[in-house]
Amino acid sequence: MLAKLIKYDFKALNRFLIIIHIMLLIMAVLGRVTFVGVIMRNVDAMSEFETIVMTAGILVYALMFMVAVLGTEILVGVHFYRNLFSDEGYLTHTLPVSRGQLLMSKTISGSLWILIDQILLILSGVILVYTKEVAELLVNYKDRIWKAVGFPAGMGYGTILLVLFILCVVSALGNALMIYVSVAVGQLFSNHRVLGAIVVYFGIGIVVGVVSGIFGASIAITDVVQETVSLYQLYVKLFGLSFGIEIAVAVIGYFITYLLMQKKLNLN
Amino acid sequence: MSKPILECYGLSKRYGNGFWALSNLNLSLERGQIVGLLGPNGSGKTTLIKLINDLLVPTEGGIHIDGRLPGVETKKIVSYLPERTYLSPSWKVQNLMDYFEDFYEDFKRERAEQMLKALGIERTARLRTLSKGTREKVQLIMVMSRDASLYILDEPIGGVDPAARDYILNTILTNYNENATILLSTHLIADIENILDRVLFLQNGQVVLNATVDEIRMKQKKSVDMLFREVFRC
Repeated sequence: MLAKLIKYDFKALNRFLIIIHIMLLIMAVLGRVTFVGVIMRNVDAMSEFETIVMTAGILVYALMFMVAVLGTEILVGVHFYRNLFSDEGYLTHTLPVSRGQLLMSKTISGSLWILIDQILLILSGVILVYTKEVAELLVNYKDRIWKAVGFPAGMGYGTILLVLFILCVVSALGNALMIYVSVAVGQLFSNHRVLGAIVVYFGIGIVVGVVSGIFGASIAITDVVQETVSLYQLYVKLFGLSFGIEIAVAVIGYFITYLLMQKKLNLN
Repeated sequence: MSKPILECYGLSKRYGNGFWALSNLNLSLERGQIVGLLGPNGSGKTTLIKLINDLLVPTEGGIHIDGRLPGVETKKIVSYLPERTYLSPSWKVQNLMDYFEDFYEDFKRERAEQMLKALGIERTARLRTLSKGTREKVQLIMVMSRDASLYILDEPIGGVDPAARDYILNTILTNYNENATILLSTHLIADIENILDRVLFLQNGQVVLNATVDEIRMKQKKSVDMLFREVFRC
């Protein structure tokens, strides 16, 4: 049954998200042609028309980037609300499946789409700026770049990508469950349920931000100011902190959402 | 003797605002009957229906459906038509049939297709293009196309014209097996009393009458509609 739920959740999310992300990649390609391509040819000899096209390319890409970032999270949240807490919930909650399966299905489909979004955002950036010159720069000046940012000399790009991917996975889980717990708390209100969910979402965001800030600052102050660790060791600690916070948000969010669905379901 | 299809014992539900929608309700329904759940607004009908469907958690007491607490197993045998339209407007009618077929083992697709055909509803029609009344009929067709043990129909004829009412009542009568029970909530008593075997009157969250329609007619010499008007006179 879980597989069937996931199938229908993806079906609902795919409708708009596939279109949005195809548009993002098309805009990245157009941006590459109109913006980066023009600069790489000869920035000084650009005509007025080329300048306009370049500016428009940048703006449209930036707009599409924002649409993809916000659109993905909004659509994941809207689907969760509509499918479980609006009139559709009368069907969803009377299917012969457990509440745990319903939440697990939403967690898998929502966080996977947020992960796909993050990967495609990075990919669109790569399409936009990864020219032959940039590639040569990254190979030829790797040691200098690494030294400047404090990475150990032997570390490859693969390790960086792996760490980035892990962070994207846990952040996708954390984001999805932060949205879900906000919606689940918001539905407790008799009126203004969506507004309630938005307020709770920003409230959690502020709390998570403050906690991250306090822990991050304390690590930076104790380790860097007192020069007890290298810059790289600081990165590792900050990565651990981000990882821990995202996992904590995901786990706490999951259990609170589950309890509210189980005990405090409030369909109008 | 088989277990009652529905049992409520000491069932109470208090909402967050302190209002007791149900208060120590006790009830036992046998199989193979059509039961009218009747009562004025705020008497607790919808709360009882939501509790049976696991959409609310009781404050006190409990419910057994075929001897089990509401949950995954009971949802396999309960077919529920809520008062609201729960259909996703972007779906086609055939998507809805696929959905029911995927999740309910007792869904009979041929039966649904026959009823859709009889009403001239295209399988490829998108739900948002259908009128409100037609969407309600589609929803009823899905619910009645299951071979369930307990059908719970909340205001199935509330929003449709008299001709459609006849079709819906006929659909209900011809699509449930004799071992199944139908619990039907409505305000339109006169329209449905001919199909009812038993009625439950709910008032202030308690059952104030649980009798067969024959008993009411024979002993009290009244129709259910008349008795209802008398009991709940404002």
